[in-house]
Amino acid sequence: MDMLEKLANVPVPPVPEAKPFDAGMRRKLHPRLLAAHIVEFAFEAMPMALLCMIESMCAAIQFTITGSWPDRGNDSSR
Amino acid sequence: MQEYVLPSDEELAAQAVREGSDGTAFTSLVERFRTKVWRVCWRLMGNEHDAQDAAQEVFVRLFFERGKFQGRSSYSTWLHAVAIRTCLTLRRTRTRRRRREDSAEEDQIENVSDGASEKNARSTGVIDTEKLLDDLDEEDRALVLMRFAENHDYEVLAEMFDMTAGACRMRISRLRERLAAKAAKQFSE
Repeated sequence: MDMLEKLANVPVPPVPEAKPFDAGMRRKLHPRLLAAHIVEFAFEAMPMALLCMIESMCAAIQFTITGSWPDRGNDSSR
Repeated sequence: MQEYVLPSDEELAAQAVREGSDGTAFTSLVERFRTKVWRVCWRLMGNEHDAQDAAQEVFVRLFFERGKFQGRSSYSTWLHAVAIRTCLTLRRTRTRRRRREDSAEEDQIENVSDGASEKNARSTGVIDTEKLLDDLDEEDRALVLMRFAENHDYEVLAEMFDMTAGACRMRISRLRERLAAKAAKQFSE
């Protein structure tokens, strides 16, 4: 059936100009990138920061009460 | 004289992953594949406006999925698959939206004009290939277009559509038969 073979003869219009095309792509990309960063900040960075802060505060309270830092196993960096 | 060797697609893609932003490697990828992606999008979307929209969407998706390339096929094939998936998603969304928006009255008008164009086609003996393809399932339509309009091999198509080459060959053969039968029916009516 050459009906389908003829599809290859249908001319494809020229590629849109690079500048407006790229500008349009970046207009779509940047808001999504910003959203992705906000989500990452809210659900990954903030909980991590809170966790670290709470841990430090608990350690400080423990030190105030008992006079010793919490046991961290073989953590030689402290 | 020092010879400058252009990085391969795969090297450039790896560089874009390391870069982690829309910097020079990603921009080079866009430049390198703009024409190929445009061809796929135009074939699948059917008009320039939608094709441009889809092509931009493909590169946005490429940006977010650039770390997912595992090298199981060539980078070009993988990007074609991304482009096809994006176009199919956009076409499905647009079809759903259009269906929702179309009122009964508009449907009637469309039916009348469709009938007229059908009659016209019949009277001139011309088979509207686009219309025949539009009756197919979106994925089948894409498969036929990539095979016959873009002349991709069965092996490459199989990688793009995530199936075996044998299954791909079989599916295209069945689609071809189905379209031939439809065209014959349209012609005889």
